[in-house]
Amino acid sequence: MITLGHYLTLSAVLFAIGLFGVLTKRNVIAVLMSVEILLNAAAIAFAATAAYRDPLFFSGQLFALFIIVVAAAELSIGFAILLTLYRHAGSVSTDVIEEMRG
Amino acid sequence: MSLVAFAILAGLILAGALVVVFSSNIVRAAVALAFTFFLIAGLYFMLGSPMLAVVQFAVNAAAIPILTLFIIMMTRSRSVRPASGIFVLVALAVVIAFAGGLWAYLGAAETQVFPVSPEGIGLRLLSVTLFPFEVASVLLLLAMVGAIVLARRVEE
Amino acid sequence: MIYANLSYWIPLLPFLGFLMLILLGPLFRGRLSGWFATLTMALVAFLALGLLAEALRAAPQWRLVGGEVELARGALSGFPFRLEWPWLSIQGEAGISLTFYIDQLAALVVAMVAVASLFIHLFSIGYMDGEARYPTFFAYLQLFTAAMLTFVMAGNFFIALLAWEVMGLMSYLLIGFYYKKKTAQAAMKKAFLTTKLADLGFMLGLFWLYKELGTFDLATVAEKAALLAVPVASGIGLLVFVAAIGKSAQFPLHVWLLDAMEGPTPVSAMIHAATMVAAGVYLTGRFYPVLEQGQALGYVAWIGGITALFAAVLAPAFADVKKIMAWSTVSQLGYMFLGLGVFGWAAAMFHLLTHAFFKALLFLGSGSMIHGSKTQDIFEMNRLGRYMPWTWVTFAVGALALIGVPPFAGFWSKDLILDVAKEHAPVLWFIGMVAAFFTAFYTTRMFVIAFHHPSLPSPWKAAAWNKDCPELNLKAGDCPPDPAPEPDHKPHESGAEMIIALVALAALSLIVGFWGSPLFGQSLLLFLYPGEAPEIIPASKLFGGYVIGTLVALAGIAVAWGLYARDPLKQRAPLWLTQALQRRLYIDEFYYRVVAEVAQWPTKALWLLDTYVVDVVVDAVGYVTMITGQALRYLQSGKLAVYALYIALGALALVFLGGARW
Repeated sequence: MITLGHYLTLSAVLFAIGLFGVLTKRNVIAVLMSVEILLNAAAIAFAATAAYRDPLFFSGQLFALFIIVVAAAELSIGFAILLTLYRHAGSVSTDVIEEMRG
Repeated sequence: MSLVAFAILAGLILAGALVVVFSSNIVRAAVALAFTFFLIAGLYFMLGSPMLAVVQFAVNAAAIPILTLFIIMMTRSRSVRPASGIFVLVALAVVIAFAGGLWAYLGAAETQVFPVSPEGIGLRLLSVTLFPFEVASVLLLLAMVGAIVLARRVEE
Repeated sequence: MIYANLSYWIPLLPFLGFLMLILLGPLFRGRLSGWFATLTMALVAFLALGLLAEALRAAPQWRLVGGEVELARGALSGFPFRLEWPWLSIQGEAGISLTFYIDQLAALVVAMVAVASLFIHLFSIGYMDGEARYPTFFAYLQLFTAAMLTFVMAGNFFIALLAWEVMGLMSYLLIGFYYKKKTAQAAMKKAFLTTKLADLGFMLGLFWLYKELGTFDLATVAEKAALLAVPVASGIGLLVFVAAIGKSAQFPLHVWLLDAMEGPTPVSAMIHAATMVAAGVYLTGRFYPVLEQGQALGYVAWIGGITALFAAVLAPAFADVKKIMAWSTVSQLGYMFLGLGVFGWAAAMFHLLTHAFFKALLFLGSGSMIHGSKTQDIFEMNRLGRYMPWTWVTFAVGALALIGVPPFAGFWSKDLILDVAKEHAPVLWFIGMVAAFFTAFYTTRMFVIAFHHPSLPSPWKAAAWNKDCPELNLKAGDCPPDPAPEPDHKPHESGAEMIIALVALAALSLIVGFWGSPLFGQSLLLFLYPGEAPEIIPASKLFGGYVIGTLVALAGIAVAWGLYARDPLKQRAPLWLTQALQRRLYIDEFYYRVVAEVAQWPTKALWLLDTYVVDVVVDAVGYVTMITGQALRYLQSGKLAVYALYIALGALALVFLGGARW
């Protein structure tokens, strides 16, 4: 039988993969895609927990829904900023964003 | 049986995610992303939540990869340069520690899935969580306006 | 009571005049600002004389009957006049009120200040003509007068202190009126710092007084002075007396007054006659009950006596007409303190009054001499008596008043002081007599050389030790002597306003003395009589003093005339003595070289502390901050991935912290 543990394991591994992407990618688009993976991993964990443990209120699934909404919003803004960056610097590499270097 | 299905699904999801993260071709990464999200929608079906699955399919598996591809086209950036070796090692260490940390939560052994109907979600969404729902809609509106403002070509 | 109720206008009018002139100065063209200020002062003088008349009517009337003073009629109701407004009251408590208190002394001194200041204003219209900052000069004069009038009328010592400090400021500004001259800069600083140092005594004394009696009110302090313990009263009185020493330029804080001559001559007249120095005597007069309770009057008397002699001895060595006059002021103020110290309170105030008029006259007269002859050096003046008849006459009146020749004003008041001294302290009487001889000597010397000798080469300028000015602590070359006038310069008489002021003051110098003289029943002294002190000397006892005083004065005149009428340039004293006298007995240099240096020792110690302790600590804080910042700046790599790593590490920390289950 599939237990909650299986889903959470999948979620954790997916999260780890996404995190690795966020940390190592230099292309901002790739970073944003990795962030999407992170968000989906979290959504899976929420939805699975709700499905197994919360028959009455299924709050986790609602949470997953909201995560999708937030992800969409985040991505659209992220891409808009990226576009501006691209126009400004001619590149979408994180290397060009170094204004905050101390 | 279902465990086999889950294993295949999970394996494909992870494979897709790995392609997203490790592919040096960004278009391929975007396609793999769409594929991964599509499979996650299947996962939601298995969790007894067709509503969530449909939304996942419509938004994450369709809209977002398309948007991503648009951006890829608009920015003409195809390749993904890898990060420096040392940093990759550091990141890997962090990731492993993270995954190890999360492992601690994985003891859950429940087997019974409680399916949820779209009506149930809808009723719940528009009653108890009405306020967050409205906030989310405002958030989307703001994101739209913000994206337009940010991406607009400024006339010199 | 009309004038008493209006009396607050007396200080207010010149203050408003000051505001007008300082704010709208450029709108007053030509001599207009001078006339404006003078008219203001005329109004003030009118009010002040009205006030004096009212006070004379309302004051208690005393009568001399066979050598004893007895009360003829008590004070009318409402006397002493008192105007009061609440001020500085904290949360409904009484606080310190703005009080004007006008008793006999205040009314007299207000009238004296107003009248003297009026003539000084009038004189300045002509004297300052054509000078830069003409309206500013009159604005300063107005505020100076306003401050002095406030000081005299102040009903509590706190107000008095405020006015006192304003006077200090105005003297600073006026002495440095020609602020581009190095000597004027040094002189203004010297005057301000010296008097300021003394003012500390005033403040400390006042605060102590407040701690003891809980009031600043003048009349209350006078009443309650007897309640003070003797050492306390002595301490308070002497602290305040230190301030008076500074303000009235008494030994050993006399040093600033000579250099105050850097200001325009009317300013010198103002400082010496109407305001600044008179304030010190007045203050001591006001603190008289405290000083008496503290049995500290002896110090006052001795300071006064020493100063009177010291200044009179130094004066004959000087060649600058204004500096001779300055020594004379120091000396005459010494007489006043001498009088105060030997219980001659009314006599001292009488001398304050007469001195104000004849010293204003002498200063304005010397201003006229300088104006006409273009030099301040008496040797370089060319037979002024021939060219400036009005100045000659009026100056002669002033000089005779100063010397103390009957019937001029100074005679009556100075001899009264000496007579009081003879009763209480014969040694001081003798010192005063010697000083009177020297007074006659230096005055005659100045008069003869300036008015009756043709232009001579100045021995002052020839002396090697006068090339630089150590008394101002300036470098050589910073104080070049004024150029001598051209040999064929013909002195000319001054303009009408100046002459009018001189004649008016000469008339006052002649008649004011009679008011306190036995010829008119010593009515001024009876007017000032406070009710108990044994200080009215019956006329019959005065005659002997008059004869001796007159003889001493005539002896001084005769000796000076004999020495200087023939051969004014002959070097009679040994050179070292002349040098010592002209360098003012090296007291100024001692202050600059020794006292100022010693005073800097704690400063230098604190400087070391600051450099090697405070600065090190502060620097250490700075360095620690800087090093920390240098180390931490590497956290801000600017690389997006690194920031993401921080986020991940933070999340990791949360996971492990939250993962208490495992």
